[in-house]
Amino acid sequence: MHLAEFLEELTELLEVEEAVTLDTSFEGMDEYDSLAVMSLIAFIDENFDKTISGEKLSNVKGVKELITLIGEDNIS
Amino acid sequence: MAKITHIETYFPSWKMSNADLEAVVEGINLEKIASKIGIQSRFVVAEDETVLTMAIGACEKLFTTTEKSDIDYLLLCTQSPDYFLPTTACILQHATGLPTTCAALDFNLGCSGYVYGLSLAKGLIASGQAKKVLLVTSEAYSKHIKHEDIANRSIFGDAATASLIEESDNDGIGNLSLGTDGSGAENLIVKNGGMCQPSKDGSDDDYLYMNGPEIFNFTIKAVPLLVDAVLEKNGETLSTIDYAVFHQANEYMLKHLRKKCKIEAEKFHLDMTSVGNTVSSTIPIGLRQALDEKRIKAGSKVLIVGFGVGYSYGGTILTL
Repeated sequence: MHLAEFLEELTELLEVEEAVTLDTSFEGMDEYDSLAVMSLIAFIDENFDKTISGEKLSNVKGVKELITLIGEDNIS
Repeated sequence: MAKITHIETYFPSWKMSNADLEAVVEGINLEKIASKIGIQSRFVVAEDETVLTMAIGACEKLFTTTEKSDIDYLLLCTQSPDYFLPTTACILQHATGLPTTCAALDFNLGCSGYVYGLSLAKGLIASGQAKKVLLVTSEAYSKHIKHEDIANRSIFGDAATASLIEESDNDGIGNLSLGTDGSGAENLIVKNGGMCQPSKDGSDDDYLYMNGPEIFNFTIKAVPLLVDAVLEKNGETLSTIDYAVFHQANEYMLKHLRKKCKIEAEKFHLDMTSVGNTVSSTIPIGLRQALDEKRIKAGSKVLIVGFGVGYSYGGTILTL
């Protein structure tokens, strides 16, 4: 998946007003809640055929770390 | 051979709306969560109602149209029994006037419970141990959930169902595929109050705990494989079955599973808006809804799949 598409999908999934960028932090972001984690699990499964534990996803600090978790090779 | 001949459902009288829940915690807004999980209201037992009273309600409805004197086996699925002992099924036998020649037992399963109940009923009939099995699911998770736990209170609803499984000339309950993965035990659990940790200490361990994301991860892995296994064991494909009733966990999870399993939306049951996730009762409630709305009828081939707490899972194909 292209990075631009990934960021767009992420913005939609988190239902945030400001577009998500590589530098977006999830710390203190109200929208990054357990529902968002559920949506991420579905999104990652559908697009990358990967399972990441809910605990790891809950503790992700920002977009860069999320990309590392999914695998940098998957997002260009 | 055996088939399901009747299904009845029972709900407690209090319908708890999202607005009722929002009143519990100041400033909380359930709109976002409700739009995702697809639940607007659910039924909840009153303090003096229990799994037994709901089970009686479901059975009494069933007995208005069916004969009870020849029921020879009662199976009751619950995880919130009235007592540690005796088993709730024994009290239910007496309360509903079932013959004393009727065997009765409880089994403790959650969202996979209906499929396991059918598995037991089919085996009992096939082995000649029973001719007419009454399978009751009755669950009151509301008794396990902390008052302030809005997330779980918004998902789970209380309900009971009663199904009759009778000896028949055609095979109404297909081959079953069942499975267990106890490594997930801690992800949906009530820790305190059993014999391992008997004291209720006022902590969150006194109440139901659900690790939603991990349960979701488990279903994503287990359910598609289970669907494939059930179809293969019965020589069917997604195009030869008429309808699918999965455990109604929550709408978001089900929509994802439906896509992942490649089941057409028209064939896929999705209806928990007004009842919530009723644990072992979701599949028989779904079958009842689909029958009432004429989405399925006598002769329909219906794929049923249950999965959850344990982890425990199972599926089969019913011919109605």
